Amino acid sequence: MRKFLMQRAGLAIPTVIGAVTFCFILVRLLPGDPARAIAGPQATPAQVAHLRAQIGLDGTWIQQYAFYVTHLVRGDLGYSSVSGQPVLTEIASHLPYTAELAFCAIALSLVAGVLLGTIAASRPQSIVDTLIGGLSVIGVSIPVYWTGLLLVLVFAVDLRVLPAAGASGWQSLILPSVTLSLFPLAFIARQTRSAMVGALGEDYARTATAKGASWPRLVFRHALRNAAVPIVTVTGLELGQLLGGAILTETVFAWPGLGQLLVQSIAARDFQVVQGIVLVFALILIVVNLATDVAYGLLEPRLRHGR
Amino acid sequence: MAADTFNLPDLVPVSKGGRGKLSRLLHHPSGAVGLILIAIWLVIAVAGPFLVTGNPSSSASYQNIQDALHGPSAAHLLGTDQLGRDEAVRLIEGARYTLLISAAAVIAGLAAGLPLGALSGYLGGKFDLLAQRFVDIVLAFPSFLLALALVSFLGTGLRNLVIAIAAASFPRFTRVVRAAVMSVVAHPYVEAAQALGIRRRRILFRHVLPNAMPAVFVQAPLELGAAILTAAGLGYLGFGVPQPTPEWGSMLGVAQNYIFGHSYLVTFPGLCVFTFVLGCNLAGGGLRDVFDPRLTGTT
Amino acid sequence: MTTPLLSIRNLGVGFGRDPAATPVVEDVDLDLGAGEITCLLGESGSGKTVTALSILRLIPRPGRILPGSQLLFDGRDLATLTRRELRSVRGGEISMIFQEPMTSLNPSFTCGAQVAESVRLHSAVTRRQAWARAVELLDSVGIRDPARRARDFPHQLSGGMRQRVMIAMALSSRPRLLIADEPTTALDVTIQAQILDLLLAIRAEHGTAILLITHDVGVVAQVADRIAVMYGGRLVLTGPADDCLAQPAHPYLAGLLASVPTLASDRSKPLPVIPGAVPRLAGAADGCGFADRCALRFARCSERPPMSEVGGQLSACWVAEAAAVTAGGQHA
Repeated sequence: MRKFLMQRAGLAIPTVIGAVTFCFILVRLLPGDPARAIAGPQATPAQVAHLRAQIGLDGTWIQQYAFYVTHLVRGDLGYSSVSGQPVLTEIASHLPYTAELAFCAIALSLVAGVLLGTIAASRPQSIVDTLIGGLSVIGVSIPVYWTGLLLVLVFAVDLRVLPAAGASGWQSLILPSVTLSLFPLAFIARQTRSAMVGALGEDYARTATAKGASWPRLVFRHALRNAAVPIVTVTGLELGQLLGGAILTETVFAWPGLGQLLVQSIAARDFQVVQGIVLVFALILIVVNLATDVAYGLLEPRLRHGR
Repeated sequence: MAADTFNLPDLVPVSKGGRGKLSRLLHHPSGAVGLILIAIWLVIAVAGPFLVTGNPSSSASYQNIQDALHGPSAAHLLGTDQLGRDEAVRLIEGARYTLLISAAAVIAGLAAGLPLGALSGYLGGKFDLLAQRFVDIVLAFPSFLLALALVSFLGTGLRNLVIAIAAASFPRFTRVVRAAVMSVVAHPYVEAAQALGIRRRRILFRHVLPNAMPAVFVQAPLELGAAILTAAGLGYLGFGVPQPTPEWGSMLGVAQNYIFGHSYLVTFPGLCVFTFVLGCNLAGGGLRDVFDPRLTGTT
Repeated sequence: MTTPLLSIRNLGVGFGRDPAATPVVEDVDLDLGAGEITCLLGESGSGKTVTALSILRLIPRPGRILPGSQLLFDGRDLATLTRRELRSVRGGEISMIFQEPMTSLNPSFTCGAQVAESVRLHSAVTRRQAWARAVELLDSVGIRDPARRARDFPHQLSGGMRQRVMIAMALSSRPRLLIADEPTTALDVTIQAQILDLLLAIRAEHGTAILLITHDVGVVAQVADRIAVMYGGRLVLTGPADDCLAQPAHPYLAGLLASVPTLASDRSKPLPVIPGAVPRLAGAADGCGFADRCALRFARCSERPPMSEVGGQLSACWVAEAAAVTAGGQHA
């Protein structure tokens, strides 16, 4: 088990390095002189030169890279050209909102997805199964912003029971989380169904029935425990993709998270912030994947106990 | 080399039943629906703009504030937008842009992913290791974020949009192709071909690749759906093709400002995206079922 | 026999949308006596496993027990029990063990937990008590160091030990009938002998009746009190084991016995075989299902033979019946 985790962590390191490098390259993709782009059209050449030195865009590529990495490790991601605050501070103030939204969304999609998938698996080829399958396909085909807008239409405009935007109070969390949860819900339901159909068809399911186990016990204790591995794996994967969906959802609902900050910063050409957020998102995703691997290692008994 | 000019029968029973596959797909219930949806949108995208040429709303700079924000009526089947343009006309025009961007992105992603995945799976060893690390790094970014980041630094415009979306698509193609190639290479007939002295390139092109194609066929419509979602998403945020070019995502983004009172502006562009993507996903799922035991390439 | 413990009457099992049209098992009548070891013998495809599974109604969808089938156990018809009643019988009065112990045990739970679960499903005890009882049971089936083994996972045990764990699970509520579906097929010959000895010991100690499904004549010879032979989804022969093996009253069993090589076999001659192959579905043949492979067939075999008394055995064979009649006539 420990060897497995070491292996996984080892694989993550080049990925982290690669992600950092990619973000490094990003700024240099700006057409023309990146320093001028960041300084803005109003800046004088002297200011631009000063800025270039300050954020490490001078010197050779290797020098620039070293500058970038050393500052990164110290937590210095540069400064926002809009607010003047350190990028890290901006990110830190917006991250909790995104985390809250993501957490609610994934919890919702996990519970609902596992439930629907289990129901579908227990009556394979039935109408219920087909319906749930249909819902899954629809769920992955609907653009998340359209879902959000439709929900706003129904609940905020027509029924007026929930707020259309903002982050005041728990009611404002409902629509954004539901919106964001739809896509991963579809994946989780589908994965749960196939894993559960597999588990329920295994010999140990027959043994459990032969022992006199009731149907809920069979499904939730015996089958689900073994189906958990692929379900957890897909949930971890979806959590990562969720971050992308969060960007759009936060824009629909004016939710003050990292996604909204990202979009605003791009529009305002605040490139240091953009670079910082992209890096943070990537690092979060890498951590989530590692955590999924850990969960996999804990759940798979063969890994825990050798052989 | 003598073996190359040998008139060997195909060592690999490459299933040539292309027509058979199509008919099987048409009999697959959801796959057929998907195919029909895609076909409908293809027709609209290609032929639509010609049908609405006469209509004043098809001109990019048309404005008629008097007619603005009217709901669906006889004159304007889907209503008018904030500048008085006919919504239906704009949606039809928008289909072309959506299809153009997404298809180009998928083709670009395939052009990058197919060779990389094939070589990775066929050669193995250090090349494979390096390629896989690279793919892992790209996949470390959520795909929409990747596209958004690239667009924000490269700038908007058709070419950059396609590059950004293709960047998210190509690692998945690479993985799929690599997996398919590796399972084909595991078959003894590949080893037999090599032992017979047939050049590796020939083996790759004539035997390995054709049997990896089913995996590509399954993945392609799924990637198209994903590309459409990404493109429309970028458009929604305002980073797609610039106004006044009609694009479904940006139409949705603008519509949000008018949501209180003009709900139709929100409904229809989203419906277009949804049905197109639904068609892609259904078709991809149907293809997967049709090719099911053949995903590894042997009959 | 005195009142049988389990009386199967007219059992039929079919699959698919019209199960009655494609039966896999047809017209099976079988009695199991208390404390008896009955071996249900047949090749793959004979319907023996399906018959065994139907007792506890474990036939997977889309299979179904056909109407008209009766499974009389202790005056109750298992075929008509409610789910709740059935649950208390399963693992309670009737237990079952299966062929593949590796896949039949849940890989995610310890062996002790799985045995303890069996205990708790049929008696109201605390977790601790159940665990203690589980360790006891593991000990009783011959697992060394049971306390430690109880904390192991199935993949950490050998095949023989896993089968013992399954047996321990099955014995947890002192069942009156133990159904064993090819329990030794997946095991080495030496372990096989140990498991069979264990089953014999269980019968001796607890008076448990055992229905042992097997395709191995050797196993039958070792443990059976009574034999039931199935072919093509139908029962073709039942009777006391010793009699059936010594003087088989059905050509199929005779053919099987002849084809088993023994140390005394004449190695210069080819091994006798039964020509042809097993039919796939019961009811496929109109007459005797075995007729097309039988050396003794004659005109009457195109009509389905009923089970008839042949010297202490029940055989579904016109030839045997004719011989019995002749023999009876001779005695008269």
